[in-house]
Amino acid sequence: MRVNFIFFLLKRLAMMAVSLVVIIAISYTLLAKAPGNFMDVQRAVAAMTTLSNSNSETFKLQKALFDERYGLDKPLYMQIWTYTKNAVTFDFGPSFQSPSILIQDMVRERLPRTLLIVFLGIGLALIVGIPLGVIAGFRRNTWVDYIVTGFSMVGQVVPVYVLAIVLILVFSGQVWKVLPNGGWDTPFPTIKQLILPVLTLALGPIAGIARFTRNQVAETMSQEFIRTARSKGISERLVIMRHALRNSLIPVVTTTAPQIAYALVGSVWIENIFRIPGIGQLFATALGARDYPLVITSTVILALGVMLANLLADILYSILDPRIKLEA
Amino acid sequence: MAVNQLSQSQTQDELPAAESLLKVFWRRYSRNTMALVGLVLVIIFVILAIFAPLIAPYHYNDQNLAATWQLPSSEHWFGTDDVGRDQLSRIIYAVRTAAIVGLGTSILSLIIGAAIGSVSGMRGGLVDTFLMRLVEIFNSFPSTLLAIILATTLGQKVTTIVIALAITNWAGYARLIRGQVLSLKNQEYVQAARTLGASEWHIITKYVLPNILGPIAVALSFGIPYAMVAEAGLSVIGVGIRPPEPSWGNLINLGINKMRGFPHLAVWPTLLFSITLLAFTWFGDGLQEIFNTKGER
Repeated sequence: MRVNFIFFLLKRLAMMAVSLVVIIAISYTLLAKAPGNFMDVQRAVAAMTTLSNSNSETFKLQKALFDERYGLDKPLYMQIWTYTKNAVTFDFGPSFQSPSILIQDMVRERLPRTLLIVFLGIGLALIVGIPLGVIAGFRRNTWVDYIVTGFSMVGQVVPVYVLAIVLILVFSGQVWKVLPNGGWDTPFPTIKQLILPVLTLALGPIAGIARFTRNQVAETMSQEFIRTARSKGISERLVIMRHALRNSLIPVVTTTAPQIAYALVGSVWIENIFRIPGIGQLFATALGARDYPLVITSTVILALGVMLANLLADILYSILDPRIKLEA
Repeated sequence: MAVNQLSQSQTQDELPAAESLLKVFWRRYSRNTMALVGLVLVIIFVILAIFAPLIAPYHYNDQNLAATWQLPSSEHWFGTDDVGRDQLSRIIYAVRTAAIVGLGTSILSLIIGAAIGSVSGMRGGLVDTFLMRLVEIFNSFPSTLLAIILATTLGQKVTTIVIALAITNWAGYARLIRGQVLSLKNQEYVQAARTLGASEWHIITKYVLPNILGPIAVALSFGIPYAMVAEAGLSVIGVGIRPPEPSWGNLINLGINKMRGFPHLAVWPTLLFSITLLAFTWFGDGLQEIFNTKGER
């Protein structure tokens, strides 16, 4: 078992490494071919602010210096190789926009904020989603069930940016002006600043978890061992607590991983709409400025998060349910 | 085996006149009330998309600089935007854009997925291992992020957005079709065809594809709202379809930016967009009941 587990872990980690390298290679190539590079954007900005001649010799010299400094004059595969090699030791180099700040320092500063809203959101989703699903599952085809199912339908279909708009309009503007609509200026936010982003992020996962739990409970309740337990004369409370819940809640672990992935990717929109300086905002602003090392690094960080969540769910599931064998 | 066939033919004799396939489909579909609501809404959506120029009161790019930022009125039901374009007309044309993006993306990713999935399933061996690893890599990666990067590279037009979304979205279809091919390829009638010397292409198009149309239809109907969500998501990040061409994404993005002063610009696109997404999901649920597929969503 233990040898198996180590083997499984190694194989999965190797797969993850391969995926990450492919991701780096693909995004690096795509961004290198994208129309408009960082210096073009800078030139456009400079042309708008001052009246400098953008085709001047000075600019060409600047660009050559810039290319040399970031290794952009080397062939593409060399650039990708250098980036990947350094990324292994979490050395991502400086960004285009602020040459004096290393990207890994930016990540260190911003990642905790993203993780904060993601984990609060997922925590909230588990606390609310599981009981909702359990209640709906036990009261199948009653109005409680219909309300929960209807809500989880909407929550799963409507994308996170639409939820953000609705919550902002309701709680931070037109209906009640009770909560701020974002903008974190201190390193860490106040509770009030957290409520709307976390709620926005949690609604989708609440819906997903509630729906999954409901189906699990409903399926378990129709199993034969429940009938056996009832016919033995066990009280309904015990049937639910000892037989039904345990068996139906274990698989819920597997659905938490995709929800974490949803929340991590959703943070790109959440952070942009609520103006939260996290990894998601870093990704979008870097893309706008054509700051490619920064775009690729934030992509890699988010992808790594998604992969780790999936791995963790598989491991947890096999621990909770010994019948499941880990297979790479 | 023989006994089995006998009992089957017996039960067929006992049955009353067989229902036509369409009737069976309709009976199963109409069991689900929400699927019926979804169907009606999808039909309205299709009509709006096809006849947008006839239905919309104005052209989507008719600017009226004397009437910018107007609140809803009898002249402009949903108000006007920053350059005085009629918001209702823009929404109606956005339905057309969404139809192109939704249908185009799902069909294109289906084609890529079908090619890779069926080759993988029919050939097996090393080809299969390699292709499935590729699918795994695409699945392990948050595809939306790749779509954002692709859209940056390819450009912000309807066609390039469709291509970007299809490239990041085929893996699910490939896996679905590979699974179906694997379960079908050892069926007796397929083996019989192969013994008679039918080519692989013939087997795929004549025997395998017709049998997996159901699951494909279901996957397509869920792929359409997915593509719409992705398209709008690109706009909110700033790499979506560029105005003046209206899309759900750039209407919603304008709404987000102007939420303080002009909430109606945010309310109507998001509300109608959400209803569209729900309609397609209900429609897909209905299709799922027709084909009895308990597919992943």
